[in-house]
Amino acid sequence: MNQWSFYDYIDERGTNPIEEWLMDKRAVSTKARARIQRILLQLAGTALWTRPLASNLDDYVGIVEIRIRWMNTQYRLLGFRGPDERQFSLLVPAIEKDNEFVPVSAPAVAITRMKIVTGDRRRIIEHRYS
Amino acid sequence: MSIATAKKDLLASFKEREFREAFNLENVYTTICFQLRALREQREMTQGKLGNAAHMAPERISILEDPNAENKPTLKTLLRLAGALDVGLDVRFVPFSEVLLHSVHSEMQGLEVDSFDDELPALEQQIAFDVAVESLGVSHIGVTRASNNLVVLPRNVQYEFGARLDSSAGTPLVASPPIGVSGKNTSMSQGTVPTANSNANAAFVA
Repeated sequence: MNQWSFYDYIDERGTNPIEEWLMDKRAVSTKARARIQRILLQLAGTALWTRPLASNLDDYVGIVEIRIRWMNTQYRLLGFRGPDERQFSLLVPAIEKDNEFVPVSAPAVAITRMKIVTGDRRRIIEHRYS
Repeated sequence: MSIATAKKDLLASFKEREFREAFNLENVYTTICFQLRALREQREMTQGKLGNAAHMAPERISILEDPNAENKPTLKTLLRLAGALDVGLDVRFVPFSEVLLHSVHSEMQGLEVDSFDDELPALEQQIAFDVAVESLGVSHIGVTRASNNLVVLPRNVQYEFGARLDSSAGTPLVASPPIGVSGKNTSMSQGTVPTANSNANAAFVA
């Protein structure tokens, strides 16, 4: 049995920003997507995530960043453990450049979305490994 | 995670050659990274201790456990680690169906492997059992495994055996398979190893 199930945030229009980002080849190349999906699958089977692959964002309580590097790009998936047990919700995709998130608002947006998801479980959908 | 849905998603992406080739590469190295960590933790070793055993710096072990690391291990490095952990290394080509299946069953426990010394008692029992079954002298043995049961049926008496069970005309001989055959909690002491003198028409049911 897997330790974690991944879910994607769904915005108010019903679109999935995580899936859109992953499938946008200008944002994420096919090879980078393969790495991201394979690592997510592995994390699903791993109870305890460790650095440098995952870490808590100290200034944004509850938000966890999954850190995936492909070539020279540092991909970041911000999410939180929840809303229910053994669930991890992916909230915001970003990249890290010169120690800054791009977009810079990514952690704040993640906090907002975490609150939305916690209050309304219909705002997440099971992550697709396409 | 829905395993079936994950497999369906991956299969759809595998139809794109670039994705499946990239995924193949990631599957190899991600598995190695996480399995190395699983094996180290199974043995309650620090990265430093494993590094010492493999004659590598602890930092090197840390890099080898990081799926984002640029430097990927060579076969020579993997063999050194296999030696330090006293496990085998199996490198082979497989169909993509196996890649797909393996990648959706990613539990850390499933990556653990006993050292040779730890698996030796069960391995010896397994081989003793196999030898005993072979020595029955039946050229075509049908083996059926269901949950914790192992049923060995000489093919030429399968139908007869079924009929015997239905009519309660006979009681089959009973033997338990050794550890590793059908369940970790079984042992040879619970049953009887078939011998060369066993009735070739007998069935062994654990």
